[in-house]
Amino acid sequence: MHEFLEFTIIGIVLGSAYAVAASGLVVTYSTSGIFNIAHGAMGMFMAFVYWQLSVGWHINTGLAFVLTVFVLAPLLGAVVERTVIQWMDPTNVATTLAVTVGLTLLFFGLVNNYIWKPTARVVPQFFGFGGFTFLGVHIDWEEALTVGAAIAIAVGLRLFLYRTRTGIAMRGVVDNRPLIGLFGGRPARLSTLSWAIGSSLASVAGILVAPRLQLQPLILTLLVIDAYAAAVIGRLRSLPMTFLGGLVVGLLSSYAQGYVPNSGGFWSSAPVQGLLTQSVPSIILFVALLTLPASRLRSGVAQRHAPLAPASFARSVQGGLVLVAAVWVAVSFMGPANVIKLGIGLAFGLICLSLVPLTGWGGYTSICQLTFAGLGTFAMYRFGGGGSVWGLVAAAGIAGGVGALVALPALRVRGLYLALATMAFASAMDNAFFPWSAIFGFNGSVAIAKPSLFGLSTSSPKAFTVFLAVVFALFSIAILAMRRGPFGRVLVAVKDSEAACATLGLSLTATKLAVFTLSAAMAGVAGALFGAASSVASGTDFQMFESLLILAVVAIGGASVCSGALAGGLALGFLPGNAQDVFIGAGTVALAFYPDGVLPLGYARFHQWWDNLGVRAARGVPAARTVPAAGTRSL
Amino acid sequence: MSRRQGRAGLRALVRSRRVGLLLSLVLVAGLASACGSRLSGHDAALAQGALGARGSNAGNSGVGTGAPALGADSGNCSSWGSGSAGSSTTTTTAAAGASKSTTTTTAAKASASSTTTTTAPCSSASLALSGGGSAAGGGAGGAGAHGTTGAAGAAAGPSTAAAAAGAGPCGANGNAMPAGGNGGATAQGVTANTITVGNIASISGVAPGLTQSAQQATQAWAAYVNSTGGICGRQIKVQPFDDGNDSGTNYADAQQACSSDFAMVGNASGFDDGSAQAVGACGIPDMAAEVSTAAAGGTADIFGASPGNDHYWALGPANYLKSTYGGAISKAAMIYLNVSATQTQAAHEVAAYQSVGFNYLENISTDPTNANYGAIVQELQSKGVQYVTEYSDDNSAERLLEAMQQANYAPQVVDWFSEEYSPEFAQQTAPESNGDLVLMSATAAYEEASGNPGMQLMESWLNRVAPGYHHDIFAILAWSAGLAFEQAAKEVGPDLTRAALISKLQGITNWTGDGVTPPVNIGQKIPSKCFFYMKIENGAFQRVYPTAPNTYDCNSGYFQY
Repeated sequence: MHEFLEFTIIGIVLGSAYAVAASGLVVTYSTSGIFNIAHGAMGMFMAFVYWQLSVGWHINTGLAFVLTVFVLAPLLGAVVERTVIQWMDPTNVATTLAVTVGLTLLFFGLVNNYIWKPTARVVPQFFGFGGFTFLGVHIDWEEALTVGAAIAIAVGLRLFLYRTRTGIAMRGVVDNRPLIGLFGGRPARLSTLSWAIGSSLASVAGILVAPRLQLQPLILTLLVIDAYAAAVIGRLRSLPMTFLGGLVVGLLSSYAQGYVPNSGGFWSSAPVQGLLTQSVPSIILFVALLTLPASRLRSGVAQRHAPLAPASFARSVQGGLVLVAAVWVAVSFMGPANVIKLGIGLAFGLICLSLVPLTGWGGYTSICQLTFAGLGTFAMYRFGGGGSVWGLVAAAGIAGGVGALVALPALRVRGLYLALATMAFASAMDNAFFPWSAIFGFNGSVAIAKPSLFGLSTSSPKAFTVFLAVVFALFSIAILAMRRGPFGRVLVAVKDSEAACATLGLSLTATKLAVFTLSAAMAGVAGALFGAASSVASGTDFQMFESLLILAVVAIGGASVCSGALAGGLALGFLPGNAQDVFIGAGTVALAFYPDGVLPLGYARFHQWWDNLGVRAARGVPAARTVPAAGTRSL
Repeated sequence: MSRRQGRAGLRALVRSRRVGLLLSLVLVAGLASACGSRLSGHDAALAQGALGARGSNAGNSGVGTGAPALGADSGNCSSWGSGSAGSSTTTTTAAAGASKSTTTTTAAKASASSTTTTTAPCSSASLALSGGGSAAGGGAGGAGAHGTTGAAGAAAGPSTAAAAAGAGPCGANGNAMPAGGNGGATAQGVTANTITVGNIASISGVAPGLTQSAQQATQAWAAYVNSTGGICGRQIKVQPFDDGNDSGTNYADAQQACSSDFAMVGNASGFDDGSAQAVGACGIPDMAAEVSTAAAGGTADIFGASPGNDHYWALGPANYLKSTYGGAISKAAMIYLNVSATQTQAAHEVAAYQSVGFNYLENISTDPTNANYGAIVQELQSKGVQYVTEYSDDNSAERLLEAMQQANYAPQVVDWFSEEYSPEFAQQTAPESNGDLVLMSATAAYEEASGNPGMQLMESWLNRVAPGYHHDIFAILAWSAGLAFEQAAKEVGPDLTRAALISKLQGITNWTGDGVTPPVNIGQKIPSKCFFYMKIENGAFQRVYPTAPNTYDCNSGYFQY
């Protein structure tokens, strides 16, 4: 009984921390309509600020806390909202997710590489290790503070949002922003206020958990992902349910740690331990998503930009030939290291390419593409011995099959919830599958052979890099052909209006299942080739957090164009490691201003300029403005 | 991708890139390299006796290097003396009565003097590695041969610097340009004036700066060698690489080194499985600081100052704990992070320690991001565990200590390993960590540098090249790797080729790097069986056993599996 009480108290403390973090998420989402993936990163950033004030500069702990939570954190939230968030369209889920992913990378990169020197730091507990005994169980004052803070925040926020004029107006902003304006409200200010409150709550969560985790940027950033489950239990709206969800996640995690056997062949195996002890928040998140009421069909999405028309067959073939020729020339002049980096960049480009039909055309956000790529690498390792082409076939089959299995239960959710479902799947795979010795060996890494096709050896880095360019070109030509065909048109139509498509008798389920399977299979093949390009692979190469990076670079380049995927992959291949997060993060944040990505914007501007040039030449007078985007073709 | 990985030196040290992972993984990867210290070793050369000399420094420098002298029978303790201005003299007396060896080295200019004697806890010792004569003069040092080369079978023996360096065409110290020239570009990366070596460290990525000290130490070594005239008239040029804690980048870097560098020196990365592929294909010699992954350990041309070897586990620490804390080892617990590197290390250690009588009541795996050690501590308490050890990064170790403190749980022995040998860990865990043991089996200690000329020399050059460098084991191992490369290259002589260098590296079977590491068999890739224990007191490390500074216990053999 004592043991049970101990685990219960640990679970309540843990759950309270989750509840505080999740409350901030809910406040932000319910008042601005944007799910802030960067919530954890902002909390991490403010925890570092708190450490700097209290430990680095020896400011009184209480004063440092007040400064951080009530001044600097709200200021950060307000600045983010004023400079980035206010320019975004909340109905464009893919872009809003990408932008907040960019914020995550930006804060992480700044802290991890630039502002604070990487070293171990300890945030002292407010009350040291003092505490009291309750039912024979020792409880720290710090733990009691965490629980108390969670309760106070839940009650306080509830009262604020439902009993004050400002709070009610904040909730109204997300439902009908113009209407609030007509009634004298100031939607812009209210939105800024909600982000300031969210940032403040994130800082509280970061400061409360930092003494137990030390100031580790990655761990603090990812901690909030476990809180997503609590937020979803509260349906991203209900604060009491969110608090309850936090307790459920905390208690189940604690009981799993305490009572799941960790000895014995079966129980101590990586998949069992990974699933039953480490993936509890992910499992709860997945289950919570599946038990949500089916999403209502959207009646339409306001689009600021008309989609680009797909490139013609001739144009896509020309583009492919140019790519292969350019790579051929490049490898002739590059040193060995850059040749390999180019190859890895092209392999990343292929992984990015798998998001073009799914996200760019279908509008579905996936945060598990690297997980599928990892499955492909595993298939190549198991079935592609000696470079056998069967490895690539197996990669497509296994990754595609798993993609279909993931899509099936997730079919009833869409938008943000679908993205979170893929995130939960990726996180569970990180914990249970990739660390398994049966996958990449007990020592964690395996050599991946470069494939040999039809007697053509690609064993040299240069030959393999050119081969990757050929594969990228062929995949691009194929999916562009698909995009021009019936399935591609249905895909884009579903993105435009699911309700209209359903009215016309089109099967949304079949479409979603097909595109998910296709995208996963592409990622699987890309993963097999990525492993071969890197020469070695391990499970740590395919972590969920890395999938965020994939999503970000695709969004920057332009998820709807193949060349955007290529640019994103090359950026990952060549950007120095310590610059990736900041550069890619900043680029993604800028999506708030060019939601379609850099290359589609560039194509549109170019064609506009070109068309104007033609008009002027024909008429001999300055051209009138034209509407270029809809008819613009792109690769 | 910077974080892909992550995760690993720590794979070896960290093998996890982000993820909750990543950072922890990276830290975990770090474990791998640190684990090298627990891994292995071999005793053959020591037991066989005699080892060659550590060269002298007759050169143009102020650093004298003494010659390691070695007693006859099974050695169990090593020590080295401190250097001081004057002539360098090393005396070692084998208590077992087997032999006595004396090495005298005279420094040409600054002249250093050192005297080494084995001390108390090593009363039965017959081996003393004289670190002898290196007096860190802070200036240019004489280059001589720094390690000990295997001379199996010799019962004992005076050895001289010339024996190692050879009075060949490049002079007694191997520095000078031969009269008829050094042959110019004898191999890839070699010219008449330079030898270009690559160095891959994990600097960016999920764990920024993880093994940066190894690269700094390699550059410091190059500066030191160049100050002595180089190797056969050739200056060392270091081409630095950063693998970003990523195997793919590590592979690309090694490929680049294959085509532009003569060799790689001082590599330290948990992602050396990448370079293993490249090295295996192109045959570039790789004298690494630490070998982290099994793939690298199994690659013929990769050597390490801390070799990777999955077949030997030194039993010395287990025997010491058994004799000192006999009651506690029957109630032992192993905790490890469930990532590959730590899983492997934990499994091997449990098997090895059980062979000498340890009884493990608990064998617990946990996640690198686990913030809740309360449940684990409660389990340990309920089982009455009195010996606790954990294979983890230092952040996880700190969490465990905090949970133990909160639960008012104080087992008789808390045993950390080299990953926790960092000033930050000691300072940040005080006072909870007071009395905790830290096993040292890969390197000497910074705290004892005043009595260790080799450490003084290293620190003097690192302070010049990289002021404020991080005091960790990677710097020491990289410096040692540089010295091993230097010795092998000098033994090859002016006609420097990759094959010849590899052949000479294979012949280094008892290496201490001027006393910065315990004896290690680089050529056969067998880590040291020697160790000493430190303990943490009020945020600082203090030697516990053997009590004499700069000594090791080398009495026990290996558990083989």
